[in-house]
Amino acid sequence: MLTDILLTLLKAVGVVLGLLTTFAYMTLIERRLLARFQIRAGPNRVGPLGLLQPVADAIKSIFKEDLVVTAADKIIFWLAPFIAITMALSAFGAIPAGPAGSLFGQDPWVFNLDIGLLFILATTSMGVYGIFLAGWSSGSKYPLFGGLRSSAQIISYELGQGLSVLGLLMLTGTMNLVGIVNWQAEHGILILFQGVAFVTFVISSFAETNRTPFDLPEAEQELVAGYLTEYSSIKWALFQMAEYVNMITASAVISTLFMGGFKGPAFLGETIANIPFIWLFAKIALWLFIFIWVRATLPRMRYDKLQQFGWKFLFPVALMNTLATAAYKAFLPNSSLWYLGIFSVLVVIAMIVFSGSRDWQKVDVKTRAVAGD
Amino acid sequence: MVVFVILAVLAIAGAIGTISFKSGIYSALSLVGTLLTLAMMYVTLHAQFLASVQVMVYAGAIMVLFLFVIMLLNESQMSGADPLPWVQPVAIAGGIVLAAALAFTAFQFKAPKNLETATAALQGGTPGAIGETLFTKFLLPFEAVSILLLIAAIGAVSLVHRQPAHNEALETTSEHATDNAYSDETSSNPAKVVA
Amino acid sequence: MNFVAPDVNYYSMLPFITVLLTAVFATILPFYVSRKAIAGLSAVGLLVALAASIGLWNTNLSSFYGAYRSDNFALGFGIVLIVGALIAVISSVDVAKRGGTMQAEFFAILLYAVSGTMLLASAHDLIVLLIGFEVMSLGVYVLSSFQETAKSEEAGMKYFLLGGFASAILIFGIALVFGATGKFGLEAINTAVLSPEFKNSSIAAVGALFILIGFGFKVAMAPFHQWTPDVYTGAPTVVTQFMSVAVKAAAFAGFLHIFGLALQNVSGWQTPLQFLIALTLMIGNLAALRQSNLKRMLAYSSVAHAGYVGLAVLASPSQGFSSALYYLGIYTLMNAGAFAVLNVLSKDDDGLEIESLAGLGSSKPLLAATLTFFLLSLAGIPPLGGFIGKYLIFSAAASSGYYGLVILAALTSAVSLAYYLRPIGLMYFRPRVTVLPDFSGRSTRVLLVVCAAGVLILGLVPNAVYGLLELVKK
Repeated sequence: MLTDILLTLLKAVGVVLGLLTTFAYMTLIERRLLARFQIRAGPNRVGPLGLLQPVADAIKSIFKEDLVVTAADKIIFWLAPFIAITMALSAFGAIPAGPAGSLFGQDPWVFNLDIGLLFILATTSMGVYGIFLAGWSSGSKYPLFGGLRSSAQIISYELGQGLSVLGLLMLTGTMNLVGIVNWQAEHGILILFQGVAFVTFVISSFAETNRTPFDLPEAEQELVAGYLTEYSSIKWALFQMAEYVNMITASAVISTLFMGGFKGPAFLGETIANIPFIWLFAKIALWLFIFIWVRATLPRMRYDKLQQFGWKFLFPVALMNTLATAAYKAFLPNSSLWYLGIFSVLVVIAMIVFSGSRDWQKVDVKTRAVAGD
Repeated sequence: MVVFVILAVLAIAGAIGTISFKSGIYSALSLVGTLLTLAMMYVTLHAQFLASVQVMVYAGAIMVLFLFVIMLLNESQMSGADPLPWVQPVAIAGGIVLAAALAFTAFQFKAPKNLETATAALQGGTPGAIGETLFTKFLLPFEAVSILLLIAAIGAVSLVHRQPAHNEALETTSEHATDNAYSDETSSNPAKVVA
Repeated sequence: MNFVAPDVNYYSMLPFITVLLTAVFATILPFYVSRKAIAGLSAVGLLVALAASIGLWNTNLSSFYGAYRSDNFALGFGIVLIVGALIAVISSVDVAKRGGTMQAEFFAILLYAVSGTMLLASAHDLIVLLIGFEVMSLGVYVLSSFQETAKSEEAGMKYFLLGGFASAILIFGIALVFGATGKFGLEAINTAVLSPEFKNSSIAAVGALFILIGFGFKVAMAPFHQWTPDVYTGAPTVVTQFMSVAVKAAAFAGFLHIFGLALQNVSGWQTPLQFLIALTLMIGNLAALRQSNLKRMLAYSSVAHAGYVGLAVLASPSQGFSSALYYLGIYTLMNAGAFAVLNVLSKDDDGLEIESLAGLGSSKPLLAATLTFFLLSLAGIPPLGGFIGKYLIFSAAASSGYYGLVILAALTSAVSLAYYLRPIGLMYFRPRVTVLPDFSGRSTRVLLVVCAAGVLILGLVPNAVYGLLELVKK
C-alpha cells in the first residue's frame, strides 16, 4: 500500500519534471521553428545552437522584479497562476504512456481512471479559472477583456470538444484511456472511423489551449498581452508554463484518442508496437510541431467570427457526427467500421471544399434581419 | 471519516463564504469551492462519474458563466442603506434554527436499504452502470429533462428578442428610455418585494 | 451487457405527446407562417389532446414502470389543463388588437408549459413530478416577463427568483423523503412508510414540510403568496389567466398526489397545512376587499381559492381528489372567463380600475352579463358551478373532521361576496363614467358564452360529471 503511494508520487514527480523540461525546450523549439518559417535565424547565441537559452530565460524570469499593480486584488492575483499550472499539470497524469506493467514492472501512468477522458475534460475546463481570474484580478482594462474573451471562448469550444468525443465513446464503449488505446489496437486507429470528430476535436483543442488562430485572450495587437499584461517575473512564467503544458496535454490526448496512443503501428510486430513512451512521445512531438506550424501559418480570427465558427460550424458538425455514429450503432450494429470511415472522408472532403464559401455567414445576416436587429 | 470531516468543513465554509462576502467574485469563488468539495465527496462515495460531471458542468461551465456576468457588470456592489434592516438578524436566527433542526434529524437517520447491496449495485459509479440505469429505469425523467432544457433555451432567446409593445414603439427613443429608467427605479425597490 | 428495453407505452402518453409535438411545431413554424396560423395550430393540437384524453378515459394505462400513469385522475386534470390553455390561446388572439403584440414564441412556450403541467398531473414518481413542475414553472417565468414593460419584467424577475427559491426547498424536501424511504415512486413511499422497519419518521416529516412549502408557494398559499398580487398584476393578462387556472390546477394535482398517495401516513404536515389554509383564507379574502384594480382583486381572490382547494388536500384522498378536480374544473372556467373579460376590456396589461366598470351593463351587455356570471360563481352563489364545487370540498373536509376550517372557509366565503358583488353592482346600478374599450372578437364572445354555459351546467347537473369523477378515487 505504502509502496504504491510512493511509486505513484514518484511517477507524478517524474511527469511534472518531464513536462517542465519539455516546456522549457518547447519555448526554444518554437522560437527556432518560427524563425525558420519566417526565414531568419532565431535564438542561437546562448550555448551551442542556443540550447542554453531556456536556462537563461529561467534565470531571468526568476530574478526579475515581481510587480503587483496597486489596483489588483492581491489574493486572487497571486492565486491565478497557481490554479492555471495545477490544473494543467494534473490533467496529464491520466495519460497512459505504455501498456500495463511496461515501466520496469510498473504501469506507465500516474493514475488510471474509468472516467479518464472525463477527468481530463474536467481538469482542462477548470484551467480556464486561471486565465479568467488573472484577467479580473489585475484590476485594469485589457486583462479584463482578455479574461472575458477566454471564458466565453473556452465555454463555446468545450461543447464542440465534448460532442466530438461522444461518437468515439459510442464506438469504444469505454472512457478509460487505456481501454480506448486497446480498442484501437484491436480495430484500427480511430482517426479512420471518426475523421469528422478528429477534425472538430483538433480545432477545439487549439481553441481550448488559446493557441493561434484562437489566441484572442492575449491578442497583443488589441489587448497588449491580454490577461498577462500585468504579470511579470515568475508568475508570468507560470502562465507560460501552463499554456505549454496544456498544449502538450492536448497533443497527448489527440494522440491517445485518435492515433492509437502509446501503441506503435501493428505491422512492426507486437514487441516493437508495445515499447512504452517512444510511440506516444513521437506522436506528441508531431502534434507539437503542428501546433507551431499552425501558429506560423494562420492569422488570428476576429472575435465574432470565432464565436460564429464555434457555434454555427463546429458544434453542428460535431453533433452531426455524433448522430451519424449513433445511427450506425443502432441500424448497422454488426457491419464493418469502414462505412463510418467512408462517411468521415466524404464529410471532411465536403468541409474542405466548402471552407472557402461564406454561405453560413450570409445566413446569419438574414436571420438578423428577421429578428429585427 | 477524517476525509469526510475535512471536506464537510470546507464545503460549509465555502457556503458561508458565498453568502457573506461583499464582493460578487469572492462569493462566486466560494461557491466554486463548495462545488469542488462536493465533487470530492462524490469521489469518496465511489461516484466517479458524478464527481467529474459535477466539476465539468457546475464548476467548469455554469460558474464560469456566473463569473463572466459578474465581471461584465464590473461588480457593482450593493450600495446605500438596507431597506429592511430587521431581515438579516431574523434570517440568521432562522437559518441557525433550521440548520440545528436538520442536523438533529440527520443524526436519527437509519439507512432504509441494505448499504452493501446498494453499493454493489452502484458498481463504483462508472459511466456504464449510470448509463444503464439512466436509460432504463429513469428514461422518462431523462427525456423530460430535455423538454426542460428546450424550454429554457427558447425562453431565453425569446426574452432577448422581445418586441416592444406597439404603443411604446410610437414613442421616441429618449422618452422610452427615461420612462424605463423611472419605472426601474421604483420597481427595483426591494421593500416592494416584501410588501 | 444485458440491456432490458424500458417499458414505454406511447399510447398511454397520447395527450402529452400531442401537446409536445404541437409545441415543437409551434417552435419551428413561426419562421414560415403567420402568428394567427400558429394560434390556430395550437388550438387544434390542444383539441386533439383533449379528444385523446377523453378517449383514454377509464383505460388506466401506464408507462415507464408506472412512473407515468394515465389514470382518471391524470386525465381529468389533463382535461382541465387543456381547457385552461385553450382559453388562454383564444384570448391571446384579441391581444394583438390593442397593440400588445404577443410574439409567436408565446404559443410554443405556453404549450411546453402545458406539457409540463400534464407531466406533473400524471407523474407517480417524485423525480418526474419535479421535472414536470420545473418545466411548467420555467415556461411561466418566461411568459410573465413577455411584454417589454418594466412591470412585466419585474413580475417575471420576482416570480423567477422566488420560484427558484421555492423549487430549491421542494427539491430539498424530495431529497429528504427519498433519504428516509429510499424510494421515488409515490405508492412505494407510502408502502415504505407503513412497513414495520420504517425508522426515519422525523426525516420524512421534515421532508414533507419542505415539500409543503414548495407547493404552497406554487399554489399561492399564505404566507407564501406574496409574489401573487405583483406577478399576477404585472404579467400580461393572458398569461395571468393561464397562471391562475392551469398552473394552479397542475400544482394542486401534484400537491394532492404527493400528500394523498405518498405522505398520507407521515405525520407532521397536517397541522401546518391547517394553519396555512386558515391564513390563506383570511388574507386572500380580506386583502381582496381592499383592492381597487380588478386584476389585483382577482389575484387575491385566486389566493383565497387556493385556500378552498387546500381543504381537499387535508381531506381523505377518496373524497379529496375528486372534489378538488371538480372544483378546479369549474374554477378554470369561471376564473379564466373573468380574466378573458378583463383582457378584452383593458387598454393595456395593467388591468382595470373597478370603478371604471360602472354602467357596463347597458353599454356592453354580453361582457357585463358573462362577467356577472363568473363573479357570482366565484363567490359561490347557487345554482352556479362555484357553489357546488365549494360544497363538495367543504363536505369532503368536514367528513375528515376539519369542522373549524370549514366554518372559517364558509365565513370568509361570505366576506368574499362583498368584493365579488361590488363590480356587479357598479355595472348595473351606476351610470357610465368612463368609456372602456372593447377588443372582443367573435372567438372571444363564443368562448365567454361557452364558459358561462359550462359554469351553469356544472352547477345545475353536478351529478352528470361528478358521477364520472367518482371513478377518480380508484
